[in-house]
Amino acid sequence: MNRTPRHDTFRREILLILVLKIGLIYGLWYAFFSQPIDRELTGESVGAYFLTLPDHESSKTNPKGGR
Amino acid sequence: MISEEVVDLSRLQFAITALYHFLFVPLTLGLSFILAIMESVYVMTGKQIYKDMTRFWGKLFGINFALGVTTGLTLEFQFGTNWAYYSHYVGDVFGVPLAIEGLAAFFLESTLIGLFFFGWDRISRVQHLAVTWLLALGVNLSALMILIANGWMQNPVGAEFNFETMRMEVSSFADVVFNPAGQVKFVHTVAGGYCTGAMFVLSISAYYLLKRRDQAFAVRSFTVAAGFGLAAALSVIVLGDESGYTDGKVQKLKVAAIEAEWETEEPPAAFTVIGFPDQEKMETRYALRIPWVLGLIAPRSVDEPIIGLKDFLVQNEQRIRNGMIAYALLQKLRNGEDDAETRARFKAYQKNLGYGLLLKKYTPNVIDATEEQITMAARDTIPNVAPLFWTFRVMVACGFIMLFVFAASFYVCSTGTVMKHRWLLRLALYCLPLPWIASEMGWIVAEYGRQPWSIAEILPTFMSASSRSAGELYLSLAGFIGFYTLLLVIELFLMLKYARLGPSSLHSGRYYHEKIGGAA
Repeated sequence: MNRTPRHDTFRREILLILVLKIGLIYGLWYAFFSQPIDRELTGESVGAYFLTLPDHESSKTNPKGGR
Repeated sequence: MISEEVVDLSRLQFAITALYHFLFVPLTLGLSFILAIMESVYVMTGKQIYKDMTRFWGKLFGINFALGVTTGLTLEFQFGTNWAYYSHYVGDVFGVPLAIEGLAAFFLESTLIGLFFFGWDRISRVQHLAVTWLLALGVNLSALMILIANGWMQNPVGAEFNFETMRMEVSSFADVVFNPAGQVKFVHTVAGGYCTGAMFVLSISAYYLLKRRDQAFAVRSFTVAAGFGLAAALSVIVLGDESGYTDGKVQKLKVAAIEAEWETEEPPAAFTVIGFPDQEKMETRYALRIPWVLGLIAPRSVDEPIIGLKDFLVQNEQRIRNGMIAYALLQKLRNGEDDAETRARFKAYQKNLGYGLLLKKYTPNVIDATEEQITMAARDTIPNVAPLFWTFRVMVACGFIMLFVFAASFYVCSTGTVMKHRWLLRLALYCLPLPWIASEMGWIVAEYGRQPWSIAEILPTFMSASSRSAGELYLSLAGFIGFYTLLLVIELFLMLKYARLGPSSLHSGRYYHEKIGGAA
């Protein structure tokens, strides 16, 4: 297709949207996912949960989901 | 341990949101290819009516797509909020296809959707057609990723347990991707989606034809839907059979539960068409059985038996005992007794560790479980048979009714006698809910049949849930129900509005309501 001002504008719009999306997904990552995954739910705490003995002890190592 | 109420509420929340999400997904999968077919005809013939068809059905596709994305996002977050132990234990494997799907939907599909709707006058016909095909391929690629993840839950291959990190870790990504359980579920599920898209277009077109309006538009739409739907219905049945065959190899217990096979019978096994499974007595009352059929369609063999549930009970008791040994060895390894012999023994018993974990429901100290607790845990390995038995049969019945409707519709389209068969148009209209019923039933069979596992034979569901309070779950469940009901009202309002308006909603001046309005 021939390059026309209309097509140039369209390209710019698509590029702008992609840049905005990258910014948005970075923001989401920064807000919700940038901290270490294992802050509470470590191999140790999961091992304790799976291999612990009585109920009252497991409550010490039972982290909530979501962080 | 986390209370049974919390586990059940977490399961209920996931089930409700997943089943709700899947009201939108199959229509997106099916309509995307129907749009691509209609637009291909437009580009090849240059006839405006095919462009109008693409734009009108595309409008309904857009409404549905938006709702599908909105309801799908919450599912991914639930893995973190409600299934923390699951996410830790298998997140390294399960998270990869989910992440690919999320990014593909965010960058690829939504960009293509934008180009589809706003690109008609801004890119050439062929470029727009390429966008529509890429959109169809993109939404199917997303489905592939989700079903790879789900297939891994059913048949966890390509990963190994690391006792140091207490995680499953990928050992072969190729095995995860090409997992036969995932691949066969993918083709069966997307074929079900194609049936949904085709039935949607067929039914609404039948409505216009019954009302005798926009007939040229409706007949063409009806014809495309009939042809595509016939191919899809045949595919979904053949691929469903293939899915059952694969399950017969990798999820034998699930197949026995779906078929209410309590005893291991002489091969080839009989097929129970209908009956009333009794879980307590482990028998099916008033069973109507056809000799040989199950043996021929499940293992496709005259001499391979289908193991009955009673024999699975015996086998699983032994696996639980082996699981207790694996559990004791894991305790040793975690306590620092990390010698070569313990490692070797753990490796030998490791595949039964999940069975040992089933005992955690009854005793915190798995290695000292009583005989009674072992028996109870073994009984837990058998899912609730009656719901599986019935949902599977409803799904299959819906599939065959749709096959008939598509075949009959294809025939009348081929002979040019669509308008002479008003009974068929009425039948097509009334069959609109069938693909959704079949899809939902199919998911219940797949996921309810996986119980008591979240990851088959590796991680019990009750060990996977986060330690949330019941109050938090009731609150979030109420929020989901309220919000999703609102979304459903919006969806139905928009769908009914545009379906009633038909192609007049394009404001081209060529269709029924505008002409009537113009005449008035």
